[in-house]
Parts: sequence; C-alpha cells; structure tokens
Amino acid sequence: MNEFNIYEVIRHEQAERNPVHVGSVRAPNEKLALHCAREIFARRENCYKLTVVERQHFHTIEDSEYLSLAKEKTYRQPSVTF
Amino acid sequence: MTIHLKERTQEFFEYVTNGGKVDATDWMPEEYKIEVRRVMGFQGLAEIVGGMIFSEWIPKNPSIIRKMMYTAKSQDEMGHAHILIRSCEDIGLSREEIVEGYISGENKLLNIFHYDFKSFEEMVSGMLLQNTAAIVQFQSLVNTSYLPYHRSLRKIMKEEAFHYNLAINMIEHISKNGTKKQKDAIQSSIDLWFPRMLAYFGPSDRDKPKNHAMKMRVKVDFNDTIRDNWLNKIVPLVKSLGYQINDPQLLKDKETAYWSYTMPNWEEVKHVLKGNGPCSEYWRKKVEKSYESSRWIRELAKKKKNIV
Repeated sequence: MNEFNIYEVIRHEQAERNPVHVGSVRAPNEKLALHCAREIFARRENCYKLTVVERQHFHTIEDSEYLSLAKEKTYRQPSVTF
Repeated sequence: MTIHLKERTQEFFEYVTNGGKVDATDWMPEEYKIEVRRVMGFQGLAEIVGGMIFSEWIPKNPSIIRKMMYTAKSQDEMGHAHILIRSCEDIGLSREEIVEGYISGENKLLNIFHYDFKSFEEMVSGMLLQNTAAIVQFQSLVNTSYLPYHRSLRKIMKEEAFHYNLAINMIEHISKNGTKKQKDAIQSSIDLWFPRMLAYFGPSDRDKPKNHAMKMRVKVDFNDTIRDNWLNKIVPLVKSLGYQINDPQLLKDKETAYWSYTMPNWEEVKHVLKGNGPCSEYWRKKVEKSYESSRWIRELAKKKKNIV
C-alpha cells in the first residue's frame, strides 16, 4: 500500500458551476490516478473536467471555531433590522 | 495519559450517541475505527463478489443493449467496492487485506453470495430480491455516524436505483413476452430465494441488547427493523408484478407493524456462512484466480512508477 499515493479527485460537472471534491483514488502516478478517477467518478455522471491532486498537496483548516468566527452573520444581509 | 484517553473516548461516544458525526480526519478511539472498518470492509467485499456473480451473466443477456446495461451494472458494483475500500484504507484496512483475507477464507461473506443462479429467470428474480434488500439496508446505514461511509452510501444508493429499475424492467419484460415456463421459473425462483433473503438481514435482535456497531452508531437500526422495511416494500412489489410470496406464516401484525415469517434455518445459514454453501468455493477460487492473474500489473506499477 505504501508504494502508492492517494489522490483526491475533483469533478467538474458543468462549466457553469464550481468543481466539487468527490473522493479519492490510490494509484502509483497521476496518469493512472486520472484513469482510475474516470472509471470511478465519471462513469455515470456528466463530467466536463476531472482533476486529481496528491493528498499531501491539500491544505486544510479544520478549526470550525475559527472558520465561523462570527456565527451571527445577519449584519451581512442588506436589509437587517436592528 | 490513560485517564485522558479514557475521558476522551467517553466524550466521543457521548457525542456519537447523541447523533454527532465523525469525519475521517477527526480523532476517534481505536474500537470505533475497528467497527467502521469491519462494517465498510464487509460491504466492500460483498460488492466485489456480488458484482462478480452478476457479471457472469453479461454474455448470457439476450441482446446487445441488455449486455451493455448489464456491463454498466457490474461496473457500478466494482465502483462501489472501490469507494468503500478506499475509505477503509484511510483508517488502516487495505484492499489487499480485504481481498487476500477473503481468498484465505478469513473474511466472511453474506449468505446470499454463497449460491449461484441456475437460469436467466432465477438471476432476474434474485437480482430484484437482492437489490431491494440492499437498498433498504443502505437507507438505514446511510444514517451512520461515520461521514465517509455516509457519503459513499449516498453515491451508491443513486446507482442502486438504476439496478432496481433494471431488475423491474427485466421481470416485466419476461412477464409480458415470456412463455409460461419462464413465468413459472420466475415464481419458483422467488420461492427459492425468499428464505435466503430473510436470512440476509441477520438473526432477530429486537429483544437483545444493542451490539457494538449500534452502540457506536456505525449502524443505527436493528436487523429486524431493516427486514421489516424490506418486507413492507417487497411484498406489495412482488404482487404488483404478478407473482406471489409463498410463505404460509407471512403476516404483518396490525398493532406492532412487525412482520412474522417462516424462520430461516439459522443452523444451515451459519453452515453456509462458514464457506460451505454450494458455490462458496467456486466464487472464492474465481476471485483468487482474478487476483493472481493481475498480480503482474500491480507489481509492475510498483516497480516502475512512470510506466504510462
């Protein structure tokens, strides 16, 4: 298992929408990762563009406190009454 | 340190018991990981072997378009296996362990995958019964506390809906255009598979204490609840297709809404689960042969990373 890398798969269903992270595949290189991703995640679904990124290149914040510092966000609405 | 771990574990279980969800990158106690791996790995293996049983029927389908539809179904099953096993790998159970464990006889398989189909009609009926059972099973499992499993099941259920409609379509086609002999074969196959399907959901557990998987909310419903959900669905469905379920004890209690049915022979089921079913060895050998014959590709990919 260690000989292979994990690639995260990002599927772009429609040009007008944002791509979405749909899962991951295990492969020895990016080319095979793309083939594998196509089989698994673009077989039935509409797919405009498919991207793989090695998992280690994902940078993530998981601190939900920090991510929603101001949980009360009504002040961002244009017509808030106060 | 140990006290800290104990507290953390306790907090974790309180969290999941109250409906909290867990993602792959969250901290989780080892016993939770083990349970998730067990449940997901079990389903992953079932998808591989189940997919293989049906893929044998691709060339036996009556037209090119049906062969193509059937190929699509088999590809879906392998896709499901891939997604589930990928999630297992993220928490420490590799696909090699799952497949090799099955080949060596360690990893157990659902009772329904220890048989084969003797005729096209049997395969179609079996597909309908198995598929509806899988769908209600997934509709329950999708409420799991483990988010990667939840997400996998959402994709899987979407595709299972195709398989369900394919099975209905095939039965309707045979009922409409088939001979009497074919229709009789559908009925006798339903009779043959119905008790096996009852056993598929596992022993009755409604009156028993919750097992590990349920306490940890990896699974959320009793076997009996899921079996009842299936009966609620399959009994009217079979009738609407023009067939019947011949179980003299089949009855829904008006007050409790629980179903009663002829109890499967659990001793026999246990015996089959141990690998003594009529085709247990056949499928195991087939997976082994397939795994071995593609070994050189895996070895090559390991050695030469830039092979393509």
